[in-house]
Amino acid sequence: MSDKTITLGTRDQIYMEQLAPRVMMLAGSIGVIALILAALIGLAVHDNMKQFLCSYLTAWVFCFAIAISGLWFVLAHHLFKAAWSNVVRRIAEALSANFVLLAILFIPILIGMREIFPWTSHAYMQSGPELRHKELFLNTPFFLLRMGAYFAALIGISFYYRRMSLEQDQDGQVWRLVRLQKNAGWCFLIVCWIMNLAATDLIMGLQPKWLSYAEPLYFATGCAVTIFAVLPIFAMLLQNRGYLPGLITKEHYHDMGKWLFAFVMFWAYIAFAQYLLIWYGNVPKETAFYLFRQLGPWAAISIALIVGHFLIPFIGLISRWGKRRTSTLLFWAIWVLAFQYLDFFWQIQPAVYVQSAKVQNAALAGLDPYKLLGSAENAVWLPLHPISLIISLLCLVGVGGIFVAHTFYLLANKSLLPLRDPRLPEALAVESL
Amino acid sequence: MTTYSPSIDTSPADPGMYGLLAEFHDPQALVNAANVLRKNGYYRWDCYSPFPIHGLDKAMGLKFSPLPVVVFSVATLACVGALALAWFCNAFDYPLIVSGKPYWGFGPHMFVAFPATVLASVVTTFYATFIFCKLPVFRHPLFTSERFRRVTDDGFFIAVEARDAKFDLTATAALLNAAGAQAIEEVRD
Repeated sequence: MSDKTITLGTRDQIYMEQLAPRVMMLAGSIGVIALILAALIGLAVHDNMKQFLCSYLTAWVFCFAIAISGLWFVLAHHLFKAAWSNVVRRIAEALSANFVLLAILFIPILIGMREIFPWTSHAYMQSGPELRHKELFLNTPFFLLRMGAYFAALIGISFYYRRMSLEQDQDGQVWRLVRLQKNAGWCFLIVCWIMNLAATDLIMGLQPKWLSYAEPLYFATGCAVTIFAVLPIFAMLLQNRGYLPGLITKEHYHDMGKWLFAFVMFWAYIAFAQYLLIWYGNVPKETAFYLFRQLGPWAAISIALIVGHFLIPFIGLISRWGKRRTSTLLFWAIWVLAFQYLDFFWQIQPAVYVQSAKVQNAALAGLDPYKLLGSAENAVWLPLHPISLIISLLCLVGVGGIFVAHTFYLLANKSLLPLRDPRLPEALAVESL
Repeated sequence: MTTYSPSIDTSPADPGMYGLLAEFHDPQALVNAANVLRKNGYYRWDCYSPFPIHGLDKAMGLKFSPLPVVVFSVATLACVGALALAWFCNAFDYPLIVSGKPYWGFGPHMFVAFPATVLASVVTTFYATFIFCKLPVFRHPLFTSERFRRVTDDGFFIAVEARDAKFDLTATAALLNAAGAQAIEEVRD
């Protein structure tokens, strides 16, 4: 009720001064070491760094998804004038302010893009009538321009929202909040648009012959899944270390759990919608995506995604009890996050190998690459080779570690709550039905 | 309404007496009074308010509704049942070839299973709520109270039934008074 008084605790519990430097050192050093190891192993397998780039892109897309959905969460918070999300808003703001880091981490992908993006070859793009007109969009200068524009917009929006919010802590001006709310509409549109285009560039671009109108939405849904898994994990980590004691309550965790549940279901809905339309239509340019993912071990991963990303967490998160107990919510958040990584792995890694040199050469010789499925088979299994899996794991630890270190750098010495937000009392007293 | 455990129930001295109706000024007073009644061991009583009040269910000591378990079970059965029916009809008993697809596939038959699940959940929720709330009730003693009409607008009430083991006209009235009731009246059937 409104007359409940809540004490914010001491300064040490609101400002993270002790924990952040230690996490930054630990996560950052582990991340850098893991990345160097991954690169060394990648060099050792003599495939022109293809597997390393492929694993690196997967890890990068995973962190990009967390950052962009963090920004999406902040914008949605302002757009709907929400209250409860104030308690985790600072975490989301810090996650979304990682785009400078992500832009720097994108450089290795740019250097090696000839290895993983087949459209970088002009000859390949001229090899089929269905590819020729796509070169208007899928060409190197325009790709660089687009990525530059995405990062400019994302960095601009995320810094604006974070800076205004931090400045409100200093001066307590309400007009800052009002302005953020007014600007949330068009910023939200831009961020959603970038999500869609990024899915086209980073996922569909790996397989230029493939076309799916649902893929951008599928990717965006995957992004949204990550933020509602990452937010409770972060909040529990902070609370476990003595920050924000009693301020993020099980009511807030319940709310985050509800969103996680909703997006797990929405993910399944979109995944199913995409699959079903392609299955019914049975058109080669669309089935290209599922063709390789229905064979051998990739089929097992496809089934594992249905069961592990939807059915099991659906049962686990459906009850109120499972969402309100922090230990069960933590378990399901980590579970869903792991399967979301597997989803990105499944979207990206086989695609890179479908475009193997053999298949491309065949395309240049005027043959249909998809008739060469047999010869491409061996290459398609390569990401599941134990050494490839080690590279993928090291890349995930590497990029993820640096990402976590940078997030803690952004969280350090700043208030973990928007202290002078007019809706903070309402947010702290929220009760979830 | 009479299938009640006789160990707690006592037949009221005055058979025409339904119970005591107490009015409260605001939602907070209602929550406080609910706390008082629960702590004093009353069992046959209920709160009435024009809108849902946060924390009232906790103050009343309400237990979890069995509704989710019932709905989930029926929905699961409906999903499996719809898939089984589709399989029996289209793939087993009278195999149908539709645009060269296999007889059986989860994809197209999910179209049947999904709405069947949703429909079964909705219908079960509706009727189970009816049954758990002991509806339909066409007439209720509280409707004889002129004061009680404001419950759909701005009135906050607690009614303690005379069937309650601890019910005592003077003692209960005193308790409600101490809990902050604005007005207390007897309700007769």
